[in-house]
Amino acid sequence: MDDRQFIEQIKQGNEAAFRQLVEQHQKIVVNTCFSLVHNTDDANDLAQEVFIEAFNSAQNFKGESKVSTWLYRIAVNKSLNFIRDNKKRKFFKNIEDVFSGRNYTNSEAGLSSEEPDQNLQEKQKAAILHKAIDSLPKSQRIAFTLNKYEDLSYKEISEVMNVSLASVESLIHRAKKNLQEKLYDCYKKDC
Amino acid sequence: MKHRDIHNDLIFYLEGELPEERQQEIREHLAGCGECREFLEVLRVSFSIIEKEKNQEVNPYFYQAIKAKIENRSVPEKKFSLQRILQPSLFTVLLIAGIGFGVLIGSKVTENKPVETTANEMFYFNEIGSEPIESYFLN
Repeated sequence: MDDRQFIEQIKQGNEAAFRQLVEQHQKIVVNTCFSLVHNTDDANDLAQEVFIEAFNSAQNFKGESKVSTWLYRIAVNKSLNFIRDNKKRKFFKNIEDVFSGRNYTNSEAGLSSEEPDQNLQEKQKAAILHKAIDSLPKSQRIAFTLNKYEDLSYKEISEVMNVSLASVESLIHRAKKNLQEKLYDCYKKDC
Repeated sequence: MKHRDIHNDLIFYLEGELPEERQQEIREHLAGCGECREFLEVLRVSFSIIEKEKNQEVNPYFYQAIKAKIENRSVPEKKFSLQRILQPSLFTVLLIAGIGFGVLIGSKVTENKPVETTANEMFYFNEIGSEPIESYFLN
């Protein structure tokens, strides 16, 4: 069954076809969401939302691209919207904390003082990397994460992002350069 | 200058994206430059984190969760949109009522405390000065 037939079955309400779609693509969707939000639970929740949207908008799928490309697009959009909303939530939460005089402890921030040092160091290194990735401009971040986390070729990325192949090459090149600079700043400051 | 150039290309060296000649040049530089070697290790560790994070665990009840969400959402869609209309309307009514109440209280205060009151009091106070007390004692 090719992609178009697959979607046709889903449009007709074939639950088995939808289940197959989910099972075939759940891993790439969860990974894509994780590469942008850096949290397993959030990535799983977002990935579920991606498939719900795919189910609801199957009527709009024209079959011009692969199903995986379509799902990548939804996953990227959902993740970016989540990050934007999360920033707003954090902003208001910070204001609330200032007025209520609440301070975060290590355990609340997800860092336990009883954790082994090595584990803690790994977490810190991962946090530095995530911060550096998050600071990249949006297009560079999308291109870089699809390339590094999903191993997508430049051509596949150009289809997901709807840009030319040359643009993807340039975006990934600049992303790597910027990432190197951010990591170097951190290395210099010993953070 | 050479050190700076090589430093800028380290991430591409790590990814093996440079021409062989340039890769060799960097290899030679790395043999004698501790700082570049150390930073290359930082980059290597960072990229190894990405490799580890690539294989995310998927919730075993992933499909069931999606199915439950689709079923739950298909019914109360209308109720949700009604709430979206009612909520701002209620806030608007409360805001208007609040402003109206404030204006009403303000006008009552103005009515109860006219400017003349102060003038009257002062006039009364001044009247004491004009009381014929001296003539009373004299009498």
